[in-house]
Amino acid sequence: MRRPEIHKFNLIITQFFLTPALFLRIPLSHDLRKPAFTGMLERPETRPGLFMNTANRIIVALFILLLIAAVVLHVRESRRQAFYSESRMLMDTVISIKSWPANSGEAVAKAFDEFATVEKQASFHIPESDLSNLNNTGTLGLHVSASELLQIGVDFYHRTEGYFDPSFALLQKAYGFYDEKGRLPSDEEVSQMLATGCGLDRVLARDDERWLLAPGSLLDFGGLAGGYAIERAKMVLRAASCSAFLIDDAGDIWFEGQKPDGKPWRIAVRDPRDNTALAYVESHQPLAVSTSGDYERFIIIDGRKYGHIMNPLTGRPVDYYSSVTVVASDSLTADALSTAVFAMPPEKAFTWVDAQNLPVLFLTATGSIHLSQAGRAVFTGVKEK
Amino acid sequence: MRRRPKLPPVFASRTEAVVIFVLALISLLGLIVVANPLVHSSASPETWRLTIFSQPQKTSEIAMPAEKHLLVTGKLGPAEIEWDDRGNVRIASSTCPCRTCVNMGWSGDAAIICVPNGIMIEPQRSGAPAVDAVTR
Repeated sequence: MRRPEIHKFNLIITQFFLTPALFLRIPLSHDLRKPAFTGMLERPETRPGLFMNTANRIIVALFILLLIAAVVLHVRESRRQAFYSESRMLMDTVISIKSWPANSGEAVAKAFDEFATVEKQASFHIPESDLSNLNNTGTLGLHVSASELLQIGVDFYHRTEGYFDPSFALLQKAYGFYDEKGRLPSDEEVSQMLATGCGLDRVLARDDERWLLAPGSLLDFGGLAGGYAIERAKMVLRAASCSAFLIDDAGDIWFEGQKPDGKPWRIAVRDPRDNTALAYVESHQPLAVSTSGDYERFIIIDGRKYGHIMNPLTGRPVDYYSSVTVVASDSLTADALSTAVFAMPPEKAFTWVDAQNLPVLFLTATGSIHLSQAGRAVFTGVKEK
Repeated sequence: MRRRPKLPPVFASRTEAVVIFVLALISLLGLIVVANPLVHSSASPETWRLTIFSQPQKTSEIAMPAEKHLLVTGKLGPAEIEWDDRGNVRIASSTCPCRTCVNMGWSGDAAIICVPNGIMIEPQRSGAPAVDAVTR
């Protein structure tokens, strides 16, 4: 079935050809060798027609062609630039996907389905999720789909020397992050939790059939599930041959493909102090950008703000940085390492990220900005302070 | 001394000259509009997309109201959206428990989101935006 806008476009083009032709009395279909204006020559009393001069006819024809070309180019460019964009509330946040071409709505819907699937696996809040099942019963079969995410979490726990630790959920619960009723646990409580309920390698084990979680421990994969879902969603969009797309999971971003305007992708790193851009990441190549900060998820206890990322040694919320932004070649790495690096003290973090050759931008709690060695080539337009 | 041969006039009539001039002008303007990216972009957003994540999800394009304040109803209750003179937007008040959206303050390029109340407001710019996304 012909689309109405195509029909309209054809009508416009037809009018462009016909109107000047009629106005100039240019023969359209009959023999061009036959004089076109014989009628006029035979009737000299009538007003002479326009553009008897061949050169002028050519000039007019060229301008008309130029005008048609401009219209055609404009319509083609508008269609090429058009994209599909949708936002949905999933995984306790808003996920946005922008995709080219404009008719990729079906693929984007399938990509959102991946977020919904991961939410069913890894939500801390949904009672029926696989993770809730593990937290409530202490066991989870290896065949369950969330098993893959658990293994990835274990791998990142070891890679980050324990700074990425989903078992900190116990501490976060004690601080009131889940019921939003902030309270300060005592030193004894924190020591007890660190000794018996935290440390992924101590509280989570697996045998041939199932995962086993120590009694009283809790896991929260919020620092990884978003990146995991983005990885799955991007596979769907790739399989659907989307030419370019951007997935934004509450600031954890993945982009790939060539935008129609030929410009690089441009991601701003938010400066939490004044909501301007702290720096930019610009790239034609696919990249993941993820930021951990203390300004979006926090609780206020006795007038003091506490962030949700914990120090694995003290069991207390860290306050070294305002934000840590990590750029990586996949969303899992960017998501997990931004959380882990945020938990590291600066003297540890600055050397660790350089050893990992990781592009990182630190905004410290005192307002100073530090770039990792790899970050100097990746972040542009960095504020001086 | 040889006299220069008299050349025929370029335009047969004034009408012909006007038609050619107008055609030339329109063609050149058309090409400028197509070729110049500045024509397509604008510094400040003209509209904002407001999404209420209730069931069913409601999305609407809105312009900045004359009073620069807009009261909307989210999943939990009312929220007040406010604009400044430069087109930055914020959630000035909300019935959500944690008020994180209010504490976020003003936003220029990025969307402002209140997850508990299910409200998102994002600037819509014509043409190429300054940034594709904001990491935060």
